[in-house]
Parts: sequence; structure tokens; C-alpha cells
Amino acid sequence: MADLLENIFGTLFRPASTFGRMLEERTSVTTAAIVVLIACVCSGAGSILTQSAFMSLFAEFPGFEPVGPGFEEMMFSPIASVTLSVVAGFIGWVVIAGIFHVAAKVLGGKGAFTEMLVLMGFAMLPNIFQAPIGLIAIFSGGLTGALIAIGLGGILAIWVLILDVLAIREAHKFSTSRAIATLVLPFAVLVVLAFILMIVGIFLISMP
Amino acid sequence: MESIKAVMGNKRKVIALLLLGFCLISMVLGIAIIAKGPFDMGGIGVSGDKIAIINIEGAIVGGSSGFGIFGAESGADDIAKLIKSAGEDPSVRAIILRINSPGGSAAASQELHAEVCKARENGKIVVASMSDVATSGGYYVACGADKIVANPGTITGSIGVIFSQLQYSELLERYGIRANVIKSGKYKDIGSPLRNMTAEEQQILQDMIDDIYFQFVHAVAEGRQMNESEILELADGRILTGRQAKELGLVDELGNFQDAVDLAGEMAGIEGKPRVVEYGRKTFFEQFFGVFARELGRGVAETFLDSGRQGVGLGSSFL
Repeated sequence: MADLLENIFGTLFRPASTFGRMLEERTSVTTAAIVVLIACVCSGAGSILTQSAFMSLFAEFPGFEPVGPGFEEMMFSPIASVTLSVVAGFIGWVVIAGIFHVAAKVLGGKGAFTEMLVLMGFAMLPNIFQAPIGLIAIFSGGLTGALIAIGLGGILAIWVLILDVLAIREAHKFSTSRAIATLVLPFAVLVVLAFILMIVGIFLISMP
Repeated sequence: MESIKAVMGNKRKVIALLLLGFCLISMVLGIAIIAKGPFDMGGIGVSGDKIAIINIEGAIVGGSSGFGIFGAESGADDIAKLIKSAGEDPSVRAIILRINSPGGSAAASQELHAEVCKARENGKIVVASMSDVATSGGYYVACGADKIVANPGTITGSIGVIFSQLQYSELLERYGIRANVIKSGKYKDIGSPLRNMTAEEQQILQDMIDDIYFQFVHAVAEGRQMNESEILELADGRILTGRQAKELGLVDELGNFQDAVDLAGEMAGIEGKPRVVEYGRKTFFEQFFGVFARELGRGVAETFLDSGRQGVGLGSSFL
């Protein structure tokens, strides 16, 4: 527990050195899973609070709310939101760590998948702040609340991205620029694939 | 040195613990706040009660909404489902019909009018908010509402029924084209453009038009709580501005959409800002990618098919 708290503090305020230390100490995947769980629970709850803030925004702009009947039961169920967040979070954690691990290996990385998993799990830590952000947003209400949610949410997303880069860099022991390239590579591959599929589709449609 | 390190280590752990605790407490507090009414489903200061907005845009026709060759069409099936859904939703306290329609088919307008009446019987407040145009069938639907709000410049009225048909027998004769029609009854091809209409057929159609017309007049008299004789004086098919209609008692208030929202909220007794939900709103991707292209093609095809059908049968009567 003590180590976990140490690692949480380090990830938030001194991520680079903390990630290096966690690799040396061989921090377990279980510990990372606990962090992922906490982050997903807070993120799921934060999401429901943010949605509530957006509802008050819709009240200021009548007719803007895009949802139809039945959707809000799913949207405002805390249990559904948190459960979905946890399930999706765990799946995303493993899948995304896997994708970036493959990309890093292509770029010459030397790390192990478990190391990536541990550090990428800790990189999700800033998501715990979704809950207080959501709380601030619903107290602010209306457009102010929505803007706070969007602004602070954006900052959190950038924070997580930076931690991802550091995690990849430390796990695979290469440069920051290569770590950034690792992050970008899967998306670039997707874009190229989509472009190729589009060309093939146009070619097939235009055939007599 | 060792004790400083120990203190610093403890400090870090305490900060981490405090941060985690703060986030978890925020989570619990936030969910507790939004789970309790009147904050539920709306955030602080927003009522959980809803006002449903249903758009009636374009010609009112039977079937599904889409695009005809002359523009958007409001399909009675789709709109009726939305009104019914809103009427049965316990969280909906009021329904606003946002009408921008020149009218359409009599039966389709009656379908919507009937659903409006059922929604009112279910205890919903229904307010009709007129946009640019709410004539004929558009007014038929509106007259079933508790209140009608129109802009002073809205074009409304046109209480009446029309049936028109092209007749090109002389054109065919001029070019030596003859049509042979085999029918089971003498009125089977009533309204055929291939020959002149007989006086008997004209009377049959006139009786039909009059029947639909009196249904319309009755609906307006009932909805506006006026005498049928008063409505008959106004129901000569004339169009009116919103302001003229208010003076004649066909419209309750002059105002815009926001005024209609405020009125609906007030009539429904909703405290605070009501949640306003647009029923039937398409997502961005549906609007941008799917519906327009599909329905435009479908509308053009249907219009051509309908023109072909009208060549051998009776067209619809229109409000």
C-alpha cells in the first residue's frame, strides 16, 4: 500500500523518475490494475457528472439536446456508467498497451509487454480527477459548467498523453521522439489503411 | 538525513492518499447530488421535468418522413409515433409542436391531430408554435393544442380542402391519341385525366370535399372552443397572418419559439429551467451522410411513381 501511494504521488508529480524506479523495482501488473480500477471508477463517475452539467447547458439552449427518449436512463445510471467505464477501461488498457508495444518494437524498442502494461496503467492516473471536475461542472451549471468540463477534461487528456509518452520511453528505453512516434504510428497506419480502403471502394463502385 | 527522507516519504504518501480521498469523495458527493430530485437528470437548478419538442416541417403526408421533389415532408407515421411517445413519457410535462408546414393530406393531418388530442387526454400540455407557415393541414394539427403561439408574420389559416386534377383529354385528341378504359363500375376512373369529368362525378367529389371540410371545421371549432358558425365564416380558405389570426381567435398568443417554451413550462407548472428535448432529432452523421442522399432519391422516385398512378386513378384530397 505504501509503495502504491509512493508510486501514485510519483506518477502525478515526477513521472519520468518514478516510471524508471517502478521498472527497477518490478512493480507488479496487479498494482497497476488497482490503479486502473480506481481511475476507471472515478472516470465513470466523472463522466456522469459531466453529462449532468451538459444537461443544464441544454436547458439554456432549448432544443439543442440531441438525445431521444430512453437514452437518459443509460446516461444517468451511476452503476451503468461506472461499470461500463471499468470494463471499457480494462479492455482499453490491455489493447492499447499491446498496440503501442508492437509499434515500439517496430521502432526498435527493448521493453517487455508487462512493463508497458504496468506503466500504461499508471499513466491512466490523471483520470481520477474526472470526478472533482464533474462536481465543479455541475455546481457551475449551464455554459460555464460545460466549458469547465471541456477545458479541464482537455488538460487531463493532454496529461495522460504525456504520461503515455513517458511510459513508452521508459519501458522501451529509447528517446522521447521515438516514443512520440510510437504513439503516432498506429494512427498513421489506420489513416493509410482507411485511405487505401476508400480508393479500393471507389474503384469497385466504378467498375461496370 | 534518514529522518528527513522518512518524513518526505511520508509526506508524499499522505498527499497521494489525500488526493485519492478527495477524488473518491467528490465522486460519491456528485452522484448523491444528481441522484436526488429536483436535481436529478438535469444538473443543479434544472428541473427533471421535460418539455418535448416535435418538429412538423414541410408537407404533411402519410407514411414516413423524407424528401419529396418539392422539399421536406413530415410523414404522419413518424410524427404520430413521436407525439405518442412523448404523450406516454411520464417525465414529459409538456409538448411543443413546432410547425412549419403548408399543409398536406387530410388523413395524415387527422392522424396527427388525433395523437395531439390523446396526448392532452394523458395530461400533457400541448402548445403549438408556428414558424413561417402553418396553413391548412398545419393549422389542423395546431388547433388540437391547448394553446397556439404564432409570430405576427406567420402565415396561417387556409381552413379548407382542395382537390385538383389535370385533364388532358383535348391534348390527346389533338394528337390523335385515344385511351381505352375497361372498368367494373362507372365511377371507377373518377378523376381520370383522360376524359372530361361528368356532372355526377363532380358532385361526388364535391360531396367528399365538403365532408372533409366539415370535419376540419368541426375540429377547429372544438379545438378553439368556438361555434362552428363562427369558424364557417373564416373557413373560406383565406390565409391570415399570425396577428390577424389572433384577432379572429384562431391563435392565442403572438410570440416566438422561446415564448412557446416559456408558456409551456408555465402551463405545466415546471419550476426552474425545464429540460427541453427534441424528439426525432437526427445525429450529425445521419443528417450529413445518410438521410438526405437516400431520401432525395426516394422522394424523386416516389413523385414520379405517384404521377404515373394519378394518371389512372384518384389523387389525394389535400388540406
